[in-house]
Amino acid sequence: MLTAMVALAKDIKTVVLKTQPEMHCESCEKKIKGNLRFEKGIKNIITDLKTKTVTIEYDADKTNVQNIIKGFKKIKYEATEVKKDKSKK
Amino acid sequence: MKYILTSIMMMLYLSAFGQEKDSLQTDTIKTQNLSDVTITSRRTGTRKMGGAVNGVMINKEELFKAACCNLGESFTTNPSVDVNYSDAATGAKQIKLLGLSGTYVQMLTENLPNFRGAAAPYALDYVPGPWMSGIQVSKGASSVKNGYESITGQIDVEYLKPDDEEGVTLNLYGNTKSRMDANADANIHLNSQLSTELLAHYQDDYGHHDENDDGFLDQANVRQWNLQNRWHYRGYNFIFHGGISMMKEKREGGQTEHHYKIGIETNRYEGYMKHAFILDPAHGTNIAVMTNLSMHQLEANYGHKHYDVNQKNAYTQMLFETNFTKQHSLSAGLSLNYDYLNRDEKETTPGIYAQYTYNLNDKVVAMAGLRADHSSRYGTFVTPRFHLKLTPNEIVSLRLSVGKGYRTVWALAENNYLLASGRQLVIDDLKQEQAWNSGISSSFYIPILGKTLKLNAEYYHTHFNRQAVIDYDSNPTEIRITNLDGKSYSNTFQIDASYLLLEGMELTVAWRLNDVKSTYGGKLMEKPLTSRYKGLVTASYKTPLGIWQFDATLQLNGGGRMPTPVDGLWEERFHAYEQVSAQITRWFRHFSVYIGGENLSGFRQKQPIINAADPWSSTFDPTMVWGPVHGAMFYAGIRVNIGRL
Repeated sequence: MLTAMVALAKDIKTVVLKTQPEMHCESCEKKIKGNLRFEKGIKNIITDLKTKTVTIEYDADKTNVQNIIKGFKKIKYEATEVKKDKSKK
Repeated sequence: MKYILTSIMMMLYLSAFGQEKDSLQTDTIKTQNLSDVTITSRRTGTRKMGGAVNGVMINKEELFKAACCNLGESFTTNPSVDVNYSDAATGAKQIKLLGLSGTYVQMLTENLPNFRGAAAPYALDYVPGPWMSGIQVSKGASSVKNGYESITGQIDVEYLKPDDEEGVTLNLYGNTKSRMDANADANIHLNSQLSTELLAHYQDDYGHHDENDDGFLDQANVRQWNLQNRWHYRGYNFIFHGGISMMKEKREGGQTEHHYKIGIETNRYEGYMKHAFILDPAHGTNIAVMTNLSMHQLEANYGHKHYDVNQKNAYTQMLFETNFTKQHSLSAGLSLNYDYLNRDEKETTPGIYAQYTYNLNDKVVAMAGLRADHSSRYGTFVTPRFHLKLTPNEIVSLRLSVGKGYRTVWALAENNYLLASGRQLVIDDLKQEQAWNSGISSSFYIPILGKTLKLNAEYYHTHFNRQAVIDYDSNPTEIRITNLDGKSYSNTFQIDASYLLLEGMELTVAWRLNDVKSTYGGKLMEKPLTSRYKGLVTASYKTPLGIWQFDATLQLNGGGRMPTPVDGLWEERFHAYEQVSAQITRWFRHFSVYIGGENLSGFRQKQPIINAADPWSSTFDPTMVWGPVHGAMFYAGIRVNIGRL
């Protein structure tokens, strides 16, 4: 019960990013998902080859967009935000 | 060959295969967008192959569900193929597809025929698991492109590719049965067109386990060194794949303290090359030349019996393929196969084939193939094969197939492990085997509660006109490999379903019935040592980001007939038994660790070796194996990924 309350209290946010070079194939998707999942505070990663965007849910108490962008740099991608953060209830 | 031609054939049916550039730390969560709805689902470890042939692609995700030290251990988590020990003393293993022994399955590596004759009994140990990027299992009469031999199907092993992302992967494995494995793969792109790869494997079984105290090792101690170097070149209109490999193996079994010993030493050398000249990319028009050479040196001692062979095989094929239009495509080619075992056992077989495919918007795919071959031993013979796939909508697809297959039997080379038996091994003057296979299979993709239930049902019938029958029943003092005199057939029915039960959790359930009979000494009897049925349940759960993975498999193997008992030394039938395996994997950015167990219920055949107390008698027999030969086994391993992002 206490755990559930703590979980509810988490500040989960979503950010949508575009990458350079662009994510154009399943291999790019795998590389991004396979690495970003180990960044602190990442909760979910959704890639979309059609719009070439990566949607990331993260715990705002543990990380922020800048840290996520640094995570992309580790795998040689420049990431830029395409939307403002949106709090998730 | 499929890999070479991926780029030019993808418009037809192989679109997915070109994407198989898995690194070890890849994710298996697949996201698809359908208009404004986002669906996130786990990518499954197996998937149906496109095209008219009923095939399953077992990919890296599936191979990670268990330790999969080698090819023979890669089928425990899925219902595609059965693998059984065929000999308790040597550890020889055999694939069973459609209820029939592995010799009726054509083994391919990189879509080239491989592991023939003397290599067959231990071939499943010759392909290290970490070297594989995937396995394609085709059931029923396959394409005529790869020859006339596949009767129940084909198994094609795809190795890791030199043009995959650069890097090094190391894998270390150890288990409680005193086995350790070390594997490495490394590749480098020398320039934008040329890449090379090195694959290395070492294994050592060093224990002396005898759980049932029969005085014999439960499994042979195997020490193997295996090395392969592969090259890939991709030009504008020319693609080349080539490689060489060498393997050395020492296999030791027998009594732990006394004098009955089994020792098998093998040296195997292989070389292959594939050239594809792309003439018209718009129509997928190309000419390909493929060659495979191998030399297999085997020196085996079974007690006082000795068998040496140095089998040489050369295979070459030239093929032309084109898509006249989107609907009509043609593949035609010439092939030449040469086998040499000794002065009396050799064969040269040139062949010619053509295969036409009609594709109506992927809703109707019909594939008709015909080939003619001329064997220096058996003369000219014709192989017709036909496949039809109907996909009326996105929910249902139906496949039909019928085809003929032939096989030259190298009886002693393929069955040399039978020399371990105390019975006398008698081999008659054998004819070329000949069989018809027909089958029907259907796939359903049924949407239930927002997820898809994948349901498959299939029935196959194999009917032998001529067969080399291994007869244990007619004479209690001999094993006779003789020509079929009467009926021989196999009927198999399988139904399997898989469903994403919860987010990240997939459940697969399968059931197969086997009805396999052959004529032994004039009597139509159930094929011995063949389970009447098999059930399989697998559950696989991956946490949302795929950092933890939990896999469990339950197999239920049905009972069956034993060879006719002699002096009451064994029962007439063996009974059903279960097997449980489980594995937990934790993924890190550059490595993953796994622990698991096999045969966790601890079931083992109590007496895998008949009359083990007297290995020099005619009733001694380690070849009547129907179940596990050792109890529960636990293992742990680590995969380290260097350089690959």
